Amino acid sequence: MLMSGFQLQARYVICALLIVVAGCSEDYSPKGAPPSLESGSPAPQFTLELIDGGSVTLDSYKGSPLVLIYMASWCPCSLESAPVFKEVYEEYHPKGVEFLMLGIQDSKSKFTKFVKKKGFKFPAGFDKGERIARLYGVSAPPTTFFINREGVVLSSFYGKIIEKNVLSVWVDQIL
Amino acid sequence: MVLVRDIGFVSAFWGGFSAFFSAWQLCIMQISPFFIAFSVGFYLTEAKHSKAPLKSLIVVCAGYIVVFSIVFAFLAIPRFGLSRYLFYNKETLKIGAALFVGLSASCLILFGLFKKWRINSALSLVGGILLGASLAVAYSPCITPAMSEIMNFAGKPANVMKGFYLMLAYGAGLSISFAVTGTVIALALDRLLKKNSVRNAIIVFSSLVLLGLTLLLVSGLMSSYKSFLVGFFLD
Repeated sequence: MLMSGFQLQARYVICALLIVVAGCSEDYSPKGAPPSLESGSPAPQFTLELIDGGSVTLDSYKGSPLVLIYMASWCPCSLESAPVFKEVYEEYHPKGVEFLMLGIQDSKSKFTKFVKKKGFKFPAGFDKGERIARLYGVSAPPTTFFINREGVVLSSFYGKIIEKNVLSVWVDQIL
Repeated sequence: MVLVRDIGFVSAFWGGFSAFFSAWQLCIMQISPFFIAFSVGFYLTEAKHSKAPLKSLIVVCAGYIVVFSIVFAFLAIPRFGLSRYLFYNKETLKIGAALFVGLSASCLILFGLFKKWRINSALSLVGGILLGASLAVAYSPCITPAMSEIMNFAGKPANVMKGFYLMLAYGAGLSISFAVTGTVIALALDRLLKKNSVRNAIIVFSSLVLLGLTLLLVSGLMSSYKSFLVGFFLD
């Protein structure tokens, strides 16, 4: 007996659900991909070209606590978070905490304009092709990682940070 | 300071659904015009061949909702299995998405303008499924408040799977809002447009919009397009 259209369509839906179940249970990560980044994992190494020229690597920050911020010029949450990061940087940079901003899911020119317009005092670079974001498992801006002096990710936050106190608590943890 | 909490499935779903009808549409606008163009083009084409075009569109939307939600959740929480594979290969997947969207645009023109060809109903569902996967891959989401809560909840190793299911609910809410809007606009245009030449023009326009998405995906300019589009309204 021929299957009705509904039965056929239901089979497609069931197949899709089976893919979900299979996808949840097996690890299909490509060779060479870093393990999923958890709190307590070593921060993945990277080299970033800065928009003001020159480049930095993760090792450039060895021995210093580091706040790694992924942002995009078009992102309303990034725009809202920007003043808080500037303020907390002013307070914590004299204590030895470094901040580094990476532009993702953006055009390089727009991101450069955004950095200059907002007047960030900490270095920023454009993550072309989102190679570094992929290493850190970042799927959307803004995302922030708090890395201690030993290069270990102590915590991360996905979304906007608009309260200075909230950001300060995380920065205190890596100090 | 409680920053990690389980918002529950209803809030997750509502977070996705309501985002479409809020200021977050600025962010979603990266893909919403393409879905609406597909819905309208598909409906007007199907109306030429079938007495029940709405049923066909609902089938497309069903496939779209299921697969968009799944792929969106996988990409938003790349912490296990297939999700990591998709996440690391997103750029390659965009090429596949571009091919499918380009093919859809060509089919709309062919089936819409030439009556002797029509869309097979099983292909409609496959089309919806591939459209869902394509738009989920093409989309660079903003972290809305609900997404932020889900992602931070899923950030704890013990919560990854629950977080994935919450993101699935968020994606379902988001994609259902697309489906509802696309269907309403398609029905409204069907009622308003009586002249065949105007309907054909709308089908061709929808196809061109989809071809635009193909070009953006192939050229790697999708992020620049979003940056320009959202920046235009925010600047």
